Order: sequence, then structure tokens, then C-alpha cells
Amino acid sequence: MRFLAGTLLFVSSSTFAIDLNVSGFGSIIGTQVTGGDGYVAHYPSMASYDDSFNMIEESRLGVQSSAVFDEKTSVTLQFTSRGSLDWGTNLEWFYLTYDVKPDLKLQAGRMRLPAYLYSDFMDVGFAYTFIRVPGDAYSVDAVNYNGLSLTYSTQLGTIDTSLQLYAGGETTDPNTLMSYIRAFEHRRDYTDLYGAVLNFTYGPATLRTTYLSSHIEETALDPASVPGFVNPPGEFDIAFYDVALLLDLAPFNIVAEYNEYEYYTSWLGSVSYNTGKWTFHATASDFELNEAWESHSTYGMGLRYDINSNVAFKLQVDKFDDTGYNPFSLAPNPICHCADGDVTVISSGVDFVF
Amino acid sequence: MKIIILFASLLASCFAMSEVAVVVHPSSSIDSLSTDEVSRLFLGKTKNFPNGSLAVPINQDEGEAARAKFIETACRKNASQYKAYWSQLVFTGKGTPPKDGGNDAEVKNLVSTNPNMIGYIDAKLVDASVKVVFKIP
Repeated sequence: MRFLAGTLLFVSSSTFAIDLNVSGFGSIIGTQVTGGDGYVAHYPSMASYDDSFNMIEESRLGVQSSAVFDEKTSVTLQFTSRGSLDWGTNLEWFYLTYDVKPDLKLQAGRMRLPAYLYSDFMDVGFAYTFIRVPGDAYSVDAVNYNGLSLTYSTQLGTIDTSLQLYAGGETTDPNTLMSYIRAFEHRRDYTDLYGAVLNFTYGPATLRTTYLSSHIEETALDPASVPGFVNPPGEFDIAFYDVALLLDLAPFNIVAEYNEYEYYTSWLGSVSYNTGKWTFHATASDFELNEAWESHSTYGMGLRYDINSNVAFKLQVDKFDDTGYNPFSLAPNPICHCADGDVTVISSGVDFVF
Repeated sequence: MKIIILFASLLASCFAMSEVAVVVHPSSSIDSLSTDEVSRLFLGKTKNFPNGSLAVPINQDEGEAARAKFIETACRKNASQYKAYWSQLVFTGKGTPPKDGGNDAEVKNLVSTNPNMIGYIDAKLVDASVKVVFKIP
């Protein structure tokens, strides 16, 4: 099928004579770690590598279907299967869209938590130049939420603006990232989750700012296995800010993003150059926990080659430095739970949309 | 020698691609649009014509000469960048790309029978059934 093609307009495949379309995306990525023992590529699903070649961890497939009822109302669902989660199929998006007015959109259901610039489409490798959205700067452990989102878009003079407000909650059971970092299984319940995303686009420049806050409650799945952990112990509030700037100065493209979470700060920067089917980039990112335990940065270079308008090949080399340590013993505390977290990572793969 | 022939044929194919005309229904009150106004419609940044009426942009199918020229010139993206741009919106509930309406003749026919549509066709095929609001030389 052509990418989301005109099928919508000319063919009706549903029993109930509504417009139905199917589209999807995927990535098949192979990675080899050299010069160290391990590397975490994608924190929310803990896609990670040891020192052997692996084509599973970051490979993924997404399939989306939308039913369009009328000009204002549609339902969309999106399933994703990830190698890092044993190819289990998860319903990551399932929402009703209602266009209240042409410039006001209401969505209800399960959606992506729009914490970061790339959050919404970070699974869709075809949509960006690097082989992966830099992990250092993308480590909020909740990826989706269930709730309501209201988006207002308008043009202020020559500036395109949009404001998204959302509210909801989420349960991660188990919380893949935090269970790994603390080495015991626990779930996290996010309640009173509120956020806002404000976007300004003027000519080639886009400025995106976002804020979110939530209440989090942690529950150990097997409290007996964790000395000193009594349910429910962990109840706290978090706030998160992110600011990102994009400059589309064809053939150059520049992205910078900075964020602060309750317990850490992180940033990324990337410059790319496009010539025909080839795009080259240099990218850096950094994560600093407010305490010594976790600190890491990545410097990488890579290329994207557009095989055709639906398929892209990518190759990337990253140097990952892990400087986290135990502040009491001063022993290294690499994020990979391995002996040596300073690694060079060579990755290549294919991204596609259909 | 081969290089010269290749270059000559490239040059010839450039000249062979004639003007692309952006067209709307003849009854439309729109007389002309700017590059920016046209590209905003085909990038999903607006759903309305400058006069406020609903706009339904229609692309030609992939592989059609007019599509490549239109997307590169009006939207300033190559075919892959255009699709990457739309995949950021499609898979995140932010928008639906213009539908593909076929070749020059098919798009002309669609636009000539739908007052809200805006499409683009080889300028040589323009007749009274559509109204030209923008031209890409």
C-alpha cells in the first residue's frame, strides 16, 4: 500500500461504510559494542547491548489504523512490537479525535506523553536523521498516558503557534527502566499528571517549550525481596521542563534541546547536512543526575541514505562515556550494570514507513 | 563523451518538465496564492484558504513528474523529506497528509468537480474546467 495513500478517499474497506486506513513504520537495527561491556540505547524499554552483535534490541514495528467517521471525528489505534520487550505487542496509542473547530482539537484516550521534542515520534526512525533519539536526553520512564489532550493552533502574524494542554495518568507495571536501575521489580503509578506544550514556528526556526508535573507512587512487586522497602514507601511529586530549538537552514539542520527533571538535567545537540539522498550528522548528548551515581554523555556521527521515499538506511558510530560512581566507595557505577560502561557503539539499520 | 550525452539528456529532461500550475475549482473566489500559502496547505499547517473557506489539498501519485517538482519547489523538501515530515504528524495524531489523486488528468478532473479542492497539474493541460492560482516555472 502506498503511504497512507488515497485509499482513504477512493476505497472504503470497512463493513460500516466509514473510511478506514492502515499505515505503519518499523526499524531493523543491528548494533555492535566495541571497547567496553555494555550500552543502553533506549531507556524506557531498556533496549541494551552487551559485547555481542545484536539485531533485536532496537528493532521494532508499529502498525496504525484510523477510522474516520466524519470530517470532525476519528479513532486511531497504534500497536508497537519491540525486540527489547520480547516482541510483545502493546497498544501504545488509542484515542478519539474530535475537531471542535478547525484550530481546536480534542483527543481522548491513550497517547504519547509529549515530554520531549521527539517523544511523539521517537519510535518512527524514518522521521529523523539519527539512528536513535539520543538516549541520554530521553529518559523519562513513562512513555504514554491515558487522558485528555486539547490542542489550539493559530497564526499570530507570521508566527505559527500551538498550545497543547493535557491531563491524565499512567501505570507502568513493572516500570522497566527504574526496575533495572534499582535492580528490583516495582511499578509506578502516575496520578494527577498535567502538562503543557507551547510551540512557536517562525520561518526556519521552531521553539518548543514544555512543562509537566505528576504525582508518583511506587510499589515493590515483591517487597520481601527488597530489604528496607515497605509498601507504599515512595510517594513524591515531580516536575519537568524542556526547551528545544530547531533551525531548518537547508541544507543544514540544527537541533538543540535541554531539560530538567526533578532529579537530573540532560541535553542534546545535533547538526545535519543534506545533499540529495544523503544526510550526514554529528550529535552529542549528556545526562547528569543531581548526585554522583549517574552521569553519561555520547558523541556520535552518522549518515542516512534514502533508498526510496519509504525506506532509509542509516549508519552511526557513537562514543559513550559513563562517569557515574558510588559517592561513598568512589567505585564506578555504570548504567549498563557491567564492568566497563565506556564504549564505542557501531549501529546500522533500515527504517521504513508504509 | 558518455558524460556529455548524460549531461545533455539531463538538461533536456529539465527543459521537458514544463510549468506546474496550482489549480482550484473555477467557481472559487481565490484568484492567486503565494508559495507560502500553497506550501502551508500541503504541509498541513492550515486547513483553510486565506479567505477562510475549507481547503482540501490533493497530491499527485508518487512517481508523477509534477509531484516531484511541486514538492521540491513549493514545499522545499525532497520526496523522502516530505514523507519523513508527514510521518512525524501521521503517527502522532497531529495530521493526515493530502490524499494522492492520480496523475495530471485525474487531479484536474477531481479539482474541476470539487469546489474545496486544490491540486497541481502540468500547465499545458489547464483549461476552463480549473482556475490557476499559482504557477511554478
